[in-house]
Amino acid sequence: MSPNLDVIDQLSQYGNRVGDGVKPVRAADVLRTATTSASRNELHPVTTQPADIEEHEAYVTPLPARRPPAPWLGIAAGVLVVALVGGAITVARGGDGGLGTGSDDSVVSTLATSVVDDPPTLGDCPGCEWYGLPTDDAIAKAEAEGREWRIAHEDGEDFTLALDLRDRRVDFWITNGIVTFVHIESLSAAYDPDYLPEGVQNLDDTGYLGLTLNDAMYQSGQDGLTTCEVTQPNGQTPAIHCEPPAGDDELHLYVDEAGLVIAIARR
Amino acid sequence: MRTRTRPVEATTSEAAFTTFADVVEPRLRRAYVGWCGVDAAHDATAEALAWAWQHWDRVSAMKNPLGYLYRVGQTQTRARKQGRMPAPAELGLPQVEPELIPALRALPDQQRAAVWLVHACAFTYAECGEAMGISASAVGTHVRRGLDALRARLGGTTPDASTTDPPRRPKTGDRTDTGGTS
Repeated sequence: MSPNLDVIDQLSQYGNRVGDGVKPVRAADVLRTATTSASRNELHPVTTQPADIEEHEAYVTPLPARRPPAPWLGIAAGVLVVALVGGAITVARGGDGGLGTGSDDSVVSTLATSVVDDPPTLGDCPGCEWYGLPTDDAIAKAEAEGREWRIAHEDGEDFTLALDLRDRRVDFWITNGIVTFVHIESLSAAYDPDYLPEGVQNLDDTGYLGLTLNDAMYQSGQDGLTTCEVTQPNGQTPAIHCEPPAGDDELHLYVDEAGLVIAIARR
Repeated sequence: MRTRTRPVEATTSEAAFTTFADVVEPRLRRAYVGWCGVDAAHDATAEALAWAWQHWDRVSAMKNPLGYLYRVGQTQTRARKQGRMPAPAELGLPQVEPELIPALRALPDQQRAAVWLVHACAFTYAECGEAMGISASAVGTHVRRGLDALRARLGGTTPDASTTDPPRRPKTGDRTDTGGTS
């Protein structure tokens, strides 16, 4: 290593210089591309020309010409339709002949099934209860439930929204004064790196934050602590083996989607 | 009280975006070198900025657009990870240990990314955390471990913790909102 430079200084020097070797992206190019074309591909023009289809003509086998239908085919089809209609009429009258070989019960049950089928209903979609409400009613409902709310879109106009997630906040899409779409925000470790489950006191003094679960469990064992429970971002607490076997001072670790410890509770 | 944010005028948006891009573009370009090498860094930067302009209303309201755009460029670019990084000598940096880059590339992904973004690209922990999709405290752990590994390999000494940490922005309680509360 160079005698006078620590790794940090070397990284800083290298980082300051290395970007110079990359062609810059000018804002004007981005604006021009977005203004003149919907495709961002103009920022990366294709250098290879598309293949000429005539080059591949020799490899294409033409489809055989379609023959006109034979005259007898139309006659046979007509006979078949007449037979089917006649059979159906016979069955409906309860007769024993024709195509109806089943009993009367089978006919009734078939008809009954088609009538009894439940009509389609709205499913339990998230936020279903908001759809179709007038704007003022939706806002009143949100406020009555103690929710924050925002209007994200109204009659073709998008509003600028901060990307800060708030638990239970409702974002409305409004068309002609009616809620046509909602998004209900919910916090979790997967979305907010600073999120902590309610009631959890972060014990940063352990030094386990940011470690993988396995490393944290191993380290807690080295420190004479016990880790018996883990909570994942979805709230599930999978069973794990205590490390080491249960003692007096147990830790409850909370991990994010990457499996890294984001919060620690002492039980 | 019900309030709404008015859409920004087009000309104002273009001017604001240009100013924003002038500041962010060099940092993104540098950051992508550590992820995909010098050959693909331009494409990743272009993708990120194109996305930023297409979603300027959202980006302009972000607290931490740099880290977010870094991730955007990663997802929008099918770049080969661990692209070519020039040797320090190629950049005219004789004081930088030639083994620094191989040692950096030998680190685990998370440690390498954290060390690169924080100490080579001057990302704050918050920006780095946003870029990596992890918490700021996790960034600190990865940086510490990554630096320890680099020093162990390159034979350096461990300075005080105060010199390894970049300046951290104070947390603020203000939250701008366009909606109402109960």
